[in-house]
Amino acid sequence: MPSTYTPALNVQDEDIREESPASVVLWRRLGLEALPEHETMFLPTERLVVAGADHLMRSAKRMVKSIQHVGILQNPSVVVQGEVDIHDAEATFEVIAGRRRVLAACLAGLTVIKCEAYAASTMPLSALLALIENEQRSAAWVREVEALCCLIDEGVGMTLDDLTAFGFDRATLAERLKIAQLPVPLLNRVLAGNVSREVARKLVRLTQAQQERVVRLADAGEEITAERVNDLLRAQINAGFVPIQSALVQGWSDQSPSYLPKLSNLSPQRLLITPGSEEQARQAAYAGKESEQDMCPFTSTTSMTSLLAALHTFVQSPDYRTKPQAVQTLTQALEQQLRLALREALSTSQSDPTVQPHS
Amino acid sequence: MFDLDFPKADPVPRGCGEREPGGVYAESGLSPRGRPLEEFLFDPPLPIPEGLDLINKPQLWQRTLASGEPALDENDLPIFDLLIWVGEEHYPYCCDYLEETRQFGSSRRLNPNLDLSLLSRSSRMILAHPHVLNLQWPEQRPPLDCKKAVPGHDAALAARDEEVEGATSEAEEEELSLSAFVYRAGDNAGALLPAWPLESLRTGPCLFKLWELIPQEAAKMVIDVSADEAGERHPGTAPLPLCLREIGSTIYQYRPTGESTDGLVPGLFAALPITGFALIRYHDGSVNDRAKEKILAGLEAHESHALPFYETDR
Repeated sequence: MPSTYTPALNVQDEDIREESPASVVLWRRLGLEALPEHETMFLPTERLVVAGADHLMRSAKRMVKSIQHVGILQNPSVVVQGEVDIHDAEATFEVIAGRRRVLAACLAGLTVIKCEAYAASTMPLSALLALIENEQRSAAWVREVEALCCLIDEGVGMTLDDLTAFGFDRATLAERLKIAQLPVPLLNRVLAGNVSREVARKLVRLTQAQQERVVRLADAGEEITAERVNDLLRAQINAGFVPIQSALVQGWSDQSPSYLPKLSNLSPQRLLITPGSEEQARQAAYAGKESEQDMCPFTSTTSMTSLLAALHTFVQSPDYRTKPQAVQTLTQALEQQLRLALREALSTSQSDPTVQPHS
Repeated sequence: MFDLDFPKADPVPRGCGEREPGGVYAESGLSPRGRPLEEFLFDPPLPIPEGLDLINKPQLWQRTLASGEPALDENDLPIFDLLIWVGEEHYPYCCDYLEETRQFGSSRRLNPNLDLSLLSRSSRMILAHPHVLNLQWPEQRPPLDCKKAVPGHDAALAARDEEVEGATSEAEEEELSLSAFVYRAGDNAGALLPAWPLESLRTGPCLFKLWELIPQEAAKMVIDVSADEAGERHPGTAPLPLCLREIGSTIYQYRPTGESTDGLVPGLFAALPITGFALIRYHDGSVNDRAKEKILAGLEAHESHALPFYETDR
């Protein structure tokens, strides 16, 4: 007995197939009467051609694990190459959307992939189809956030490590997870599609206090623009930079221009501190060290003694001839240490105490 | 335009490999008229401001005064600094980068899309590393030597302070020496670790502790040193092995204590002066035009305060 059940999807398909006047104009601009015929087909991977595979391989590798676990969830679009029928057993197909998925499927060892196969295409149409698919997928981040919220709400005890092991990109997932953990009023705006991904990514970088400030602004009816979030973020980061900026300003910027050498005598490191403050800075940086120098040898010379002793011991050992690489390492280390020691020695012997000679 | 005789970084193979044709690099070169590297280091290292997304994204940041006003250079132009992440892929330990800089100067590849014209001789390269700020410092012993001599940072200073303040009788001294160097039970590094009763003298994590935290396994060569060759060491402890680590063209020494590195988190560790740009030529002799245009624009804008550049094959 034939089934009378009509899946909702078919109805939706009919709706989609009904072409709007705008679509007709678009097809004409692409030199087509309508969207070329296409069919869902299972195609052997050896008949699929991926242009620019070398460039995509790295990102494709990240999808391998998830494809191994659940397969390809969205069919790639392909177009038959040459003037052959799509059902021809010898026909080959160029992938126009989903190139990474196909590559990852091949890497995962799949031999057959379910594809949307187009009977014909033009370069502009292929580009348009890829654009449409990417556009549709670009909104997928909101869906991913929603899915993560669902997992969190359901109390599913999955960690980021679990999901990464499943094949998800860790950085991407971590970002989505942070978005899913935004304060509820902000999260609702994200899920309603009222916040761009760029803004959402910046919202998660705000401290909790700043996020709550954004919530209050939103509650007061203010629009959460990228500019506003940027300003808040910048102010927050600047506050974190205060100790650094203070160090930079105090240490190196309080010089009068008259001390600066002319550009022809460029030595940028000398620009850092005025002659007067050089001594001051040295005293501050090396407080209590000067008196030690006579008593304690420099670290580099102390180390050289150990290196020389090691080399001496090594030369006398039976390993000497069998391990020339070790001798080379020791010699190279000694050479570099000697260079540093010479710099240190020169710096103390010269009248200008701040000099650090180059080799 | 400018004298080409300015400090440059040595074009040796580095931890991150060789410089690439078409690349634009900010350099901090070594100079006979320069200042010790330590003066440009943050000790203790500083936390990365919350919200700053720095990983693998060199970026420019406008310097501000504590008041929030923009910091200006001698031409009354705002000062921009370069924020750079030193990745652990090429430099697993922060010391790797510092030792390389000490030997050969610093050279960091920049995104040519950055507005390099904003950089001037007042600009600095502010460097961050994923394992630089040691949160476990209170439980660990101080480093043998704080090269910035920050009060309360190194063992020698702490010990000296203790002597001044302290033990008045031989009996008390003996008691202190026993209590100070008891071994920690159940600790892998126990045999080397004294239990420090000097917490009150410690003032914070020391950048120079990082050398001691590099594991022995990271060494290319381990040299067992006798007591008289050991040089400085923590009193009452066995001599630490002398390790040689190789990174790029640099070989440097460290003495691992075997202490935990679990407390290391990202932080800022240096603000190096920028001595100029290096534009690496393509095989046909050209350079990245986009980057060069911006550098030239910077020369025009900053005049005598502009950063110089040079073109080179490597």
